[in-house]
Amino acid sequence: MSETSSSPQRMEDFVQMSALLTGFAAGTIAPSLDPVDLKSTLFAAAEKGAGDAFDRLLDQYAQLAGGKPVSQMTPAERQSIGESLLGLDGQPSDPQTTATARSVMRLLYLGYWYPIDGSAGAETVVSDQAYVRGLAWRAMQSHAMGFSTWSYGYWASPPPPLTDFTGNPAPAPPADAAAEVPAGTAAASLPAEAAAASTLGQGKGGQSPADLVGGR
Amino acid sequence: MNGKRYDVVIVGAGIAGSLVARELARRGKSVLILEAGPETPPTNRETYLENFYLAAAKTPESPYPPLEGSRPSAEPAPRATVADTFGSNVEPGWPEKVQSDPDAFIYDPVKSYLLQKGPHPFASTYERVAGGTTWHWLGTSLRFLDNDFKMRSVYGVERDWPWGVDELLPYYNAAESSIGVAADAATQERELGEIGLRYAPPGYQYPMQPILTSLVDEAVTGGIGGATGFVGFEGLGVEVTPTPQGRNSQPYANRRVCAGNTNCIPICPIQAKYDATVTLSEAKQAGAELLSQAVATRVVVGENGAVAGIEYLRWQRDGSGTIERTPGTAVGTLYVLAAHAIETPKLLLMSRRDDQGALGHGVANSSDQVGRNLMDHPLYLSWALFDDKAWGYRGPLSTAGVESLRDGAFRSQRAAWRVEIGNEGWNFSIGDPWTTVGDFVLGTNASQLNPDTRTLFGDALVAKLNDVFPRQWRMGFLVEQTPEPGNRVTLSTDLPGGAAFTDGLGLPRPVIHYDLSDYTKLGFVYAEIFARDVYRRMGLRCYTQNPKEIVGRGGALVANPTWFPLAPEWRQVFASLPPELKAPEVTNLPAAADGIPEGFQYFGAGHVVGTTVIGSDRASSVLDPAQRSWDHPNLFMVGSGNFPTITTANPTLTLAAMALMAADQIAKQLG
Repeated sequence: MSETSSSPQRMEDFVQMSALLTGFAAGTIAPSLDPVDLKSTLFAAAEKGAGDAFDRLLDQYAQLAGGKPVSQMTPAERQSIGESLLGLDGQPSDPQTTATARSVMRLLYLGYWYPIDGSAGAETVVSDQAYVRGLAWRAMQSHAMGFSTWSYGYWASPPPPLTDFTGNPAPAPPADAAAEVPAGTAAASLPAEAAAASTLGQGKGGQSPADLVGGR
Repeated sequence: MNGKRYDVVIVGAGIAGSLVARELARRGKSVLILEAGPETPPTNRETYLENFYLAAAKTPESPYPPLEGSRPSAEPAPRATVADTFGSNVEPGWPEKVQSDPDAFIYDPVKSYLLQKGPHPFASTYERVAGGTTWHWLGTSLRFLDNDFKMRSVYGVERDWPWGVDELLPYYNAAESSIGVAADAATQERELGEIGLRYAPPGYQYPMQPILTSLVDEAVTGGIGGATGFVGFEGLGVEVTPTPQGRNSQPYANRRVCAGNTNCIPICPIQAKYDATVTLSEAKQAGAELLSQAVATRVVVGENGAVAGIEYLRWQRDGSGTIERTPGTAVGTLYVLAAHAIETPKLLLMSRRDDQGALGHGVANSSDQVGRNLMDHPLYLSWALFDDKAWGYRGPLSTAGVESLRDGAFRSQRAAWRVEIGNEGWNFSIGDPWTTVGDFVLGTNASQLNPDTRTLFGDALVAKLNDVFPRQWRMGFLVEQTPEPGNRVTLSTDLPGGAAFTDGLGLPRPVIHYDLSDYTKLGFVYAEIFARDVYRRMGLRCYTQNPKEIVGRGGALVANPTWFPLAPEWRQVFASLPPELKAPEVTNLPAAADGIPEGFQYFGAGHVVGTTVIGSDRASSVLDPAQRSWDHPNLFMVGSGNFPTITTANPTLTLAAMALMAADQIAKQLG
């Protein structure tokens, strides 16, 4: 590898690659004002866990991205790079780097490092901050279990919009979003207020997830 | 201890022991509490919280010592944990081995503190630290119903209690004040008065306004609130009732208001949820003394049949981690065992002397009932996806339930239950968000949400997770378990290889024999049918799984220890259901199954009950109606071990009320 592991360029590649794979904005993963510096913790965990495969994955990403920030890529460019990193493009791929890409995704989403050899029950929590700032909780427009900085009663109102949590524009709903609705059963009978409220956005008890920065 | 004689010596600093200690200390009595585990000053909440954040398996026990990965044989105060029951601790062929080899158990005895002989495992756990299991309780604070106390008289099943709800009512009020319960009595009485919920005096008010219910509760209320006509519940209606909860809806007892951490179990980060360190602190302020890291090893009975002392081992670890132990004896006028429903009978059985005579079966055991009638609420989980987002994973873990079916004529035939409505998506059900994130990253389908085994990334991954997580929902049915003498706690030292199965102090470990009766199992049948009808009425797709086999040690498939088959005679119950209650959408079964399940899986509810039951007949109970040993006039016990039946309600409020009742009796006896 041409850069030292902690070099700013290497870190930037890691943040950009993480943004592309997770669907969260680079500024959400690594805010410009970043006293927590979670990115360094996550980088170190991936480096320790995957070793050379992590280096090769970053090399591959740097080559594919060509220095272009994810926010400036077209959807097709992001799709192409993601498929390459994950070995989904039908091309020959390195099973160790594709496994590392998946472990990095789970690292960002959950704060756990899952060994790239897939060994069961060997996953570890990287740090308390990695857990409480896991992106899975943001994807559900909530907070990590055991880390609410919201206030009493917030759960009686819908959360702020998803874009507040991802830092990205709202994604298109999944193509199969309605596929789970079984045919031939009664229509859902949610109360009209609840159905309406789910589109209203910011709830009265909700705070912006940005308030999470700074800790409990 | 130091030659001092106390008015009262208490074993166990959980909610029951701490309440008794506080009440007696406030009345000027000298009180000593022996606590097996470490004492916990308030600042150590941070330590416990950090343990939770860093635990890979976020089990109810994960914040508390000894931490996951420790060995029960090396710990001075080990206890049962959910991690003990992981599939990786189950050997292939265990059902046969447990029967043929007296030293074989369902779970690997190297990892599992409880030595489980089956045929099914006891699936609930507890803590051995100051504050006890309330550290990880949910906070649900339901009163028992009128008929709960007289199941034998009214329905011809189970046991009667030696007294009724009226005797307990003033103590319920006092317990609700001690815990700090948030609820509206008028709402509770309106929805549940008909099935025997009681309050006194008229106009009684809970200490706090009710906790706000969740959007999940709102969706369920919209779907089934006020509905009738559920199979097996003729004449009964469904109400979705806000749950009385031991968490703050306003500042109370110098503790903060609930911030909805969605983490009541394993640990409330801000102590908005009551735990017994609150009461323990009050007891100490009133003068009670606490001796922590002091494991009671023997209840000593004098010549006159009265208890003369409690022997204990005080332990600490030296710099190298070696356990140092110092023996002592605590002496008092009266003694109270409050070590919860597995450690208390263990202590009584350990105190056995000689093979015959008064103490041949152990202390307080002339009835041979000590350790018997072990109960739990075997928990049936059923889970589904809402059509629209109902926003789970927010707020307290549960804020409402279906309580209106907890009593009815059907109880002469089968177990009743309450339904706990979960606010945590499929976290309990399948271990989400970990499982579903793993599925869409790895292209697997453990969650059943990725049938095409797609790998997603970027916007598509966010969109998918945002689509499914806020729609996840589960119900938990707390099924009442019958008291059975064969469900019991015994000692490892009575096994052929018993000397190999001791704890880090060289003390015996609990051996558990446990099974579910047909009465209890039939409660599962009607829970499953109810769940189907809920999904049908709300148009939801069911995802419940009842795996007959799980991944065991070394990756091999093994029989799931918490699965039991549907009895052949119950097939007809399902076969005769209308077609809409047999459809794959509401059953998650293949159409060819015709809606008939192979069997059910249960979970532990964390409700450790029975083993030192009260009764009006000394031949069939351990304690008299005053919660005093029939055999030893100065020995009391408190806690859920005293319950003759488990009923359908979470036990903590009632055990707290009974502890306060016992405190009055003890004070009276001390004079």
